[in-house]
Amino acid sequence: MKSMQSFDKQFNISAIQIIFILLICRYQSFMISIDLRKALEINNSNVFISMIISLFISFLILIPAFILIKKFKYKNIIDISIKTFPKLGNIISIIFSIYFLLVAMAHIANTDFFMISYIYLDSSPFLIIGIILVALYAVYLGPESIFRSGTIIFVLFFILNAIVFIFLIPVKNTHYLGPFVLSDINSILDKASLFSFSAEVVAILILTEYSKQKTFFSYSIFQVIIFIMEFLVLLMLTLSMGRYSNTNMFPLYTVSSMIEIPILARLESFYIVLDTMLSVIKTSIYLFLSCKCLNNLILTKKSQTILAGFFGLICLIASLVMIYNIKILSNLLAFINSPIVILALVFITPLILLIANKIKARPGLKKLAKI
Amino acid sequence: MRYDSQTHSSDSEFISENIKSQLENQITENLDNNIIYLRKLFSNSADFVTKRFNINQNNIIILYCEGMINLQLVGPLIIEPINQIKFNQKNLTPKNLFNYLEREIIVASDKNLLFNYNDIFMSIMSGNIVILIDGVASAISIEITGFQMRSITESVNEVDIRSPKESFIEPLRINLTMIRRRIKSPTLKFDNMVVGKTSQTSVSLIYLTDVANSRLVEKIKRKLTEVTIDVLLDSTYLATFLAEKKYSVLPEIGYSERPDVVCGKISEGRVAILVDGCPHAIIVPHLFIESFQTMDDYTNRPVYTSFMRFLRFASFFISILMPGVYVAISSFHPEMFPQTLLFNVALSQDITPFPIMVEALLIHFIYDLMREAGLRLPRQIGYAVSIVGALVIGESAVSSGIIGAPMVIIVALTAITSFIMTTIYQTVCILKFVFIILGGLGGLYGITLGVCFLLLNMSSMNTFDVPYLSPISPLNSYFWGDTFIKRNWKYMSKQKIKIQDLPGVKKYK
Repeated sequence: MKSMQSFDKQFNISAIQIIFILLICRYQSFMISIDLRKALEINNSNVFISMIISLFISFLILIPAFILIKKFKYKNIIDISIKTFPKLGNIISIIFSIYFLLVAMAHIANTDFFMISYIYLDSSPFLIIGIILVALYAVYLGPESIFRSGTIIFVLFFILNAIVFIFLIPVKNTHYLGPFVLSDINSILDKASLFSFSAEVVAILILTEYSKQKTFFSYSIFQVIIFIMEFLVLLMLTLSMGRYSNTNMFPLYTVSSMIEIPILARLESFYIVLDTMLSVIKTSIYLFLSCKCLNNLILTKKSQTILAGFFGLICLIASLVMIYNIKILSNLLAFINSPIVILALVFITPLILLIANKIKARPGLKKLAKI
Repeated sequence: MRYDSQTHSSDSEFISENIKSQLENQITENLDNNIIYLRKLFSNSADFVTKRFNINQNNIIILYCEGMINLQLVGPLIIEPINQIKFNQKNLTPKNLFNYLEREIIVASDKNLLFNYNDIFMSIMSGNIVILIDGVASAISIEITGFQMRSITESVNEVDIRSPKESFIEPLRINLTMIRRRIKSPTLKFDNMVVGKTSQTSVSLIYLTDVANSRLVEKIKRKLTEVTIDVLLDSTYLATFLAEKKYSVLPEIGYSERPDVVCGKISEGRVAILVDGCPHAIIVPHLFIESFQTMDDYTNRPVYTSFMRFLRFASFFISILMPGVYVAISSFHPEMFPQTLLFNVALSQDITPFPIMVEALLIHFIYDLMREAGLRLPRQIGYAVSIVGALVIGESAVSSGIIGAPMVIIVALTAITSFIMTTIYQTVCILKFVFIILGGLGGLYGITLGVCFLLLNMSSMNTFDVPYLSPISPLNSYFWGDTFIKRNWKYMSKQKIKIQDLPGVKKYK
């Protein structure tokens, strides 16, 4: 059996670093990828109920995965699938790799679109090359540098957001907060799915090999913190902009332009810094995960580097195509965050592996082991 | 044995075969042959002095290097006692004379017997006197080092207010003594090596055997044996061989010219390296956070120290980022300026001929030129630099419209903040230009990409398997008591701080 760790050296990555990286990725999605208009439509207030429901869903869907990971002593899903089905496991690894590549692609395209539409108006879409190159460099340096940088960037992100939140307090208007249960349950559940199903939930299945016994702890802390963060962001948007937030594609960026402090005006430029940093980390981590899933197929470091470069090129080309075809970008975003896809990866696949292992453990069923 | 032929086992070109064989040759009983060999070895150098004596039909010769010994001690310690033998001891055979000299007559604290030309050569080069007797195939070496050296003075580059004022000087032995005086522990070890094919410079590794990791020490020794320099004149020459990233702008090797700082570092498991002839020590591993620590931090109150640490961090980021951020905001994001400031910036840009990025590069380049000139000039002429600087960068440049007034403020602030961070000045000097270019070409986006690139680089660096950004990232709450903030000694003394205990350290555990 070719292990994913056949040439992986031992990396010192802690659970808290994983939490920070997941928070960065999720917040970045929240900033520019998730259609906040959908979350805030009809009635801004019922989104808070949706968020509570999503918190439960995000734990429920990972139950089989956690049981499986614990059983296999905290190996990642790819290693487990290769061990369970030596040949089929390769296909599973390719599927996960493609998924992470699509996430990276969508994120890069979205970032590019955000930058040329809002920040550097009428500039070239090739602007995104900077982020891709830095992200590829991060992938080349290895996961430790990504995680360590992510920790520091998270602190900066926290400080910048805290500044924005504090200076938004004078702008708030509680009249914008409507009744919590105004629309029907379908709307609430629809919004709940927006928050429950994300690429970070899939990423935890690969990152578990670093967090080891603290996988469940890391994931729990991540979900609780992101819940609080999303709650505060949505509250801030609702109180500051009310229904106006429904009309904005990137309401977080818009709301920061409303802030003025004595030294600086129009703090949306802070978001350039924030968005760029978070984009670099998110792009690098998903490109890394995409390459990592293929470790058992691509053995040498040189080949991996070439593969990462190739993935970066694909992401660039896809981004350039998608920013002129927003429909494709929207569909891609919908696909990678779709409940069906996420459930297939994080619920059904681990469930199948669990069942298969149970069956294989029974004597006389060795034929299954050869698949 | 001072000369380690195994150090350069694969490289014999620097010594001709003839001399090499002579070095390894044993001393003969024939005094004249010995002197011929030694003169050839010293290439008949003018400072190689020989003095002959005849004591009761026995020829004695003393050898030394002029300027290396204390001539005032030669008479009472060597020559007078030897002369006394004429009257007190008669009918001595050469071997008896040798033994009598060595055991009874020569009174010196450091006395050695030598048996080959190699040892005689190194002994004379180290400031010793060597005595040879005709008919005896061995020599006596006596230490009467007397070369001129600088006295121990205050540190010039690491100025502190409350902490001790001593700094290292050039002779290795005195520097080692300064450390030994401060750490009276049997675990303090000095490991001597010789580096430099031609210079044969003595190098000493200093560490605490019960604290420093043995694999770290072995790794450093191995790297030092791979040094292929001809002449080692300064400890900084070794930095290239010890550093893992040769072309990094960030310092991987620590330097200090203070014995108290070196003692503090080695007590945390680091290894210090002192080079004979060099007044500063190398300390490895060196972490990023150490560039922001001074000895005064450990003598001042924790609250004040924490404030000063914050100031130093802020200074570092201001000095590398402020010029670039100013250029970026002026060029791409002027809406960030408050209205009144915006008018002034726009006006200054309107009257100057250059784009703001070129203006920033030009003025910072001129500032660095003047700074370098000020360093190299003799003190009497150095004052002229400050006058020229005031004229060039000050009023004249602004009033003639070459640069804008806000840019002068930026340069001044950058300069002041860089003075606070003298240990990391080289990094600041290069990075500020990089960020000016990034800001001028890409605005805040370009600067942010540059910061991310730098951060990724720093995160990937490991200095002797210790993460360079530790304990910031990977995080360790206990060690944070000596990073951005400074906890008091009562808290810090609860746990022994060892560099190999930092999070993310590989292999040592």
